[in-house]
Amino acid sequence: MNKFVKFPLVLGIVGVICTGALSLVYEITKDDIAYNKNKVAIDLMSGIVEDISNAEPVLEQYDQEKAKKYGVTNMYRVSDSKGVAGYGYLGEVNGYNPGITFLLVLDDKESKILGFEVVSHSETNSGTYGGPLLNSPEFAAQFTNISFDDVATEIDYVAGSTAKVTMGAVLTGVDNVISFHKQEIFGEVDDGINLTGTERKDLGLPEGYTMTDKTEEFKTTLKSKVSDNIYKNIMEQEVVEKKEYTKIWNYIEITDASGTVKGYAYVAQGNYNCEVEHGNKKWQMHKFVFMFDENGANTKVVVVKSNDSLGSTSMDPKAIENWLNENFNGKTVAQINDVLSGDSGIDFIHGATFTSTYLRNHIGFVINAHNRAYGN
Amino acid sequence: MNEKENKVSLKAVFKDGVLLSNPLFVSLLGLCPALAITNKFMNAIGMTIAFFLVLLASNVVISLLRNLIPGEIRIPVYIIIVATFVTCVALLMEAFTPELYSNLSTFINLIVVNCIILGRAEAFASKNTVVASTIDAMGQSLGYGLGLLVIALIREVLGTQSLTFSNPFNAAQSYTVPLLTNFKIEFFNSSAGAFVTLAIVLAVIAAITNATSKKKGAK
Repeated sequence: MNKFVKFPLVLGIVGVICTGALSLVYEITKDDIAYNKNKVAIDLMSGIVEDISNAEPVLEQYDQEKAKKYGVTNMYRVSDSKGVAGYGYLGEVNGYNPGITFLLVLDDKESKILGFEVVSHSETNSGTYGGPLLNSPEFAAQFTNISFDDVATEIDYVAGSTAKVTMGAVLTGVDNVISFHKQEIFGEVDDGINLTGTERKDLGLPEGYTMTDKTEEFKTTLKSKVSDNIYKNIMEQEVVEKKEYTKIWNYIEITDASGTVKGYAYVAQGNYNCEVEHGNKKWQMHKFVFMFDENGANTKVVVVKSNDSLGSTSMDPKAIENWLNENFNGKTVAQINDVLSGDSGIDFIHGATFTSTYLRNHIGFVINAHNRAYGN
Repeated sequence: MNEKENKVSLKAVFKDGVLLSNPLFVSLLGLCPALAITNKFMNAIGMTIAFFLVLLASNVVISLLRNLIPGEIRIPVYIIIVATFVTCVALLMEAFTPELYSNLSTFINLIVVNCIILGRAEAFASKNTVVASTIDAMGQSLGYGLGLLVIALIREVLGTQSLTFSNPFNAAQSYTVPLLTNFKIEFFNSSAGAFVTLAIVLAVIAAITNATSKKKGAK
């Protein structure tokens, strides 16, 4: 037989027989392999979901690209005796060292975390580094039964700058997985703007107005005007000695129903800590939106989320609102900037010193970013 | 070949695999898994059994087909056969001994490119009978397995002070034998510890071989 016929024929026959053998073994073993894979997940989640009966891997039914973007490496539909109990996610994020893998189990109906556990990490396991934090059951327990919105505020502040990097990474990872869950399970639309439906309503935009995320455009403009280091410090800044952290989430263009630009807004977050003075170990946090019209006038600050106890020092909670109206609302961006950078500045409120001081700093931070990108 | 000659050669084949041409200690083949998975004695047992099954099956099949496989394409055919058996063993382990599989997974799949398997296919099974190839597989596997077990025994005992046996079908069933007290060198759990252990064992074998050769020479 001609070798050009014989050789492929022999290889083909061997290939077919081998494929048949493999198919047979696969058929025999596939159910056991699937069970073993699920068993690992079931064991992992049994401490979180009582009387768990199954943890079915379902990631392939959802958006793979989005999963990659949000650091979701696996997803399980978790059932107990009553039916679907929630969704378990394996998420991955880089801490001080790469590769923190964590398990996050989320309710399938309410915006609630059922449980959290760090599966593996390579953070340093000593002193004030991140390892002891991640190994601590107390750290993981803080996530149990808290609402999605409380992740930024209800988790204990940690000492040690390296551990803080680890903690920040875990919180970002958890936030990312929650975003994935909201979009894939609750059907929320991902328009890139980090504001919930309630927070959007709080802005009080007129009927028909829409918001478009222009963060990438803002970043590109900023990058072209400042050095890389300044750029990083503007987008996200941590002042360790003041226990202060600020981040700009979005730059938004606001248009009316006809598509005419009516203004712009920044979504930002400022975290700080009142541990020493108030005996409070929680992060204090403001998430706010700084808005202004297309001419840089009619400014408005809306605090969309805060865990600050505004009335804790026996003052009228309305005082902050009045203080914002007086100093930050209905002005031009340039006017606020002039006052903030002037000698007299903007005074804080006695009795709400921390709240007003940090909020003032965080608004100043956003105005500085705006001036760097779009100022002269 | 008469019956007597066949018996003698089979014995020689077996002895050759276990001692004279021990794949690990004499030919220095299959070093990668020998260094990587020998931190636990049970891993070494698991790897030995997996290695034996693949070598036995591939030797038998290649020996059976030796007159049908054209010489020019024998290597790709061997690789297809070996890869099939490796995948079958990996699937069976993943299904029925999941804990052991998770400890060995990468190295089970790497058996496909193990020099010993392809070497025996090319050097022995393709030229000998099914029976001889079966004995060769047993001898080579036993020789390689003994090598793995010796290294694993030294590393686990020195590195953990104890020896742990577990049921591969049910990882929850395990039994630890405490062997050393107040003496533990964790270094032996590391990759560097594996290299040092292998070096020490090779040095001891070389010393014994040299001493035996000198003794024979003196006689």
